[in-house]
Amino acid sequence: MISVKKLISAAVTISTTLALTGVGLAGQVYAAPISSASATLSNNTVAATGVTYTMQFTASSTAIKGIKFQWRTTPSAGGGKPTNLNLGVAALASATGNNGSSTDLVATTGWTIASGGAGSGDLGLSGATAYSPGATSVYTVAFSTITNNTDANDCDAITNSESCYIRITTFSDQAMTTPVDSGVVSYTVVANTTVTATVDPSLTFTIGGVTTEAALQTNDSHAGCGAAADVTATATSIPFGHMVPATYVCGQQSLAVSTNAALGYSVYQKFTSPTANVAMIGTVASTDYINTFSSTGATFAVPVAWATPTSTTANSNTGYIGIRTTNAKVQTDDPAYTTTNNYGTPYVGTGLGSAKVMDSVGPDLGTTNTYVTYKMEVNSAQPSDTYTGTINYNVVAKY
Amino acid sequence: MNFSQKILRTIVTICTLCAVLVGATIPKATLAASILSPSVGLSDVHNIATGVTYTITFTTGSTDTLKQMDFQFATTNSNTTKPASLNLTSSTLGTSTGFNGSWTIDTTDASTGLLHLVNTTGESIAASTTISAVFSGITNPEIADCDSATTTLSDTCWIRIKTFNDAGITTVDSGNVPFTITEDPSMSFQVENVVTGETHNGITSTLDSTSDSIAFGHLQIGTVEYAIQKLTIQTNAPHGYVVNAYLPTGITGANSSSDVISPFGAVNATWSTPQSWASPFGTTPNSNTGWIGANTSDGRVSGWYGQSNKFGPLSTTPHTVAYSSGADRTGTVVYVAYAIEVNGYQPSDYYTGEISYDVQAKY
Repeated sequence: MISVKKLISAAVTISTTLALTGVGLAGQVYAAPISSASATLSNNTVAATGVTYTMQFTASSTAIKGIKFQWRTTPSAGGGKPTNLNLGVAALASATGNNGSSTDLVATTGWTIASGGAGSGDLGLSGATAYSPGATSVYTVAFSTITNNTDANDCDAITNSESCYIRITTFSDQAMTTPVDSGVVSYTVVANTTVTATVDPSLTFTIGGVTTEAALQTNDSHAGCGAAADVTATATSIPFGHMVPATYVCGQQSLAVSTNAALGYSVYQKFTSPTANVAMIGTVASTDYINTFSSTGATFAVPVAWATPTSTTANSNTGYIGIRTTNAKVQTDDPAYTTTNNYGTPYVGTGLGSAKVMDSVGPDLGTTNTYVTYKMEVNSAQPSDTYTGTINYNVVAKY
Repeated sequence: MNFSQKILRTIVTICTLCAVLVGATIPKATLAASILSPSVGLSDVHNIATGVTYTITFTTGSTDTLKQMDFQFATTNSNTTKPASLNLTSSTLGTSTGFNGSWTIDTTDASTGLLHLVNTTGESIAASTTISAVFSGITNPEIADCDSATTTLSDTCWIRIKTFNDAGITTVDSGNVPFTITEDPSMSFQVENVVTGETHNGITSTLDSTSDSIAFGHLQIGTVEYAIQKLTIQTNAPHGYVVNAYLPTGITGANSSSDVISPFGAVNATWSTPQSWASPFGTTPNSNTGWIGANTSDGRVSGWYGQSNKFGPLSTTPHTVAYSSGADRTGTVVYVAYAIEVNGYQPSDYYTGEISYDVQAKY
């Protein structure tokens, strides 16, 4: 009976072995579907041109001689090429297999693109030499210069996007008739969202008055107005009051510009008097003048030290008014304005004039004021009168 | 008869008895063989497809008079557990080959995944005979009925085939054969509008969006504007999906291409470390003097869990606004909010850009 038991055991063992062999055979007949598959588009915008599609998937260890990719509106069961997808000029950008070490399928096996079916949505690559990974292999194949399909709702019914499919099949023969592994991936093209926004030109100009001598000196420490009977200026008035010969009086305004003008802005000051070099005119006699500051050599571009008017001819530089600015750009261009008590000549006339009291080469939030100080003085030859003048600021933004 | 002859007769008798005994007690254990070259063809390999025809083909390993063939559909090659969604109860026997017309189908055990072919009178079938049994009217298993893993859109189940020379007791040949069902990939991605006044993830839209446009209009310096789009993603991709959003060419001025809206650049703001909205602080035009940022309600995105009313930069670099590591069969709604603000240094211009959603499903 011992011999009989051994015989039975052997028979059972043989039967089991054959059964497992059958399993193994079955596994070879039915290759596994591809896995870990994806399609990546270099540009997934609807109808984009020059797009590179990179397909990656893992397939079985079976040797293959070709891979086919079929762009379709459905994952299976019919379905044609998505509308306006253009594979006609597609090129094989790269193809690798990686079973632990990477193999360039083009360089190693000589596979070439098979684009005969491009019009139907088929692209492939194949060659006479098999790639035999011997183990599961990660395939990465890229085709370039593809035109994406449009949102024709032939892959899905969703507006502004289209999810279509690429069927992937590996083949054991160069003619790609004997499939080995297969699978399907989706890809989605999407209509871009157009973003628009308008930034309007912006410009605000703010004038303020300076009300105290202390503030005036703080705002412009080089104003040279210390101990003066400085006046309280407002945004629209500088009341110099009753002038005492040979005693200067200062008034100051703050200017601020806020603009997004890319090239900045300039602010020009002028007196609107119709008479050259005349800033203010008497109300009793229209020939009574307060002139613009005219100390020797003074212009707006060449500010010079303040000096009491010395003329003895009434209304001809027996009284004048000067101007200075704290604007950084102006002071950079004309450092003389950083000298204490230097004043320039205000402009009188048409056009923008020369008295550029503010300047900027870029936008400005208007958070830093420019202080414009006016200094006025008369001598005893100046006729008695009430003098008035009008100051105009002209703001030019440069977009 | 001499002694030697008696000994010989005794040995022959014993051997004969042994042979008879062995044959009587374990006749098929010693005779049973494996079926050869088994295969299964399905008329439709899709998961839970109905009315499917299975063509089960194998080659007999033994010569015998067969009276029954069993086909046990199972989740593995070693058990007899029926795949949960497989339905054999309406199975019928189709035009088959390799056996005569006296065989009939018995679906008595169909509910347990077992189909019988029965021929009570028996049919002598030689070894190496190729048999194709065709069963119709079957409902396929569902994905993951057999494989426990859900990382693929396929599932491999098994059919255990046995032939008997009696009513299912004495096995003649046996073997296993796998079959694979697959599920078609599915993917849908939808962008929808959100109207003014809707609040999502702590952000209230200040203007209407559409599915393909966001018109921020005339920006007021120092005032942030919010627009929101609704994304719905649904896929059976086993490894999920990634949706990235980016501005392929940034946002630039129509009058001057050097006029740009910069990516949101608040202190410490990155896509993975979103921050509360802040006004652009740049003082050089086109350099952080205008900002555009984005918020995603998808807490699965790295860095975005619980990030209500926070923003990261929207730029030419794709950033993930929706993510799933696995299949999302019921679909997920994600709200992506966009914020824009300029300061007084931002040049006046008409600014345009395109937001691109890059969708990738991972099968």
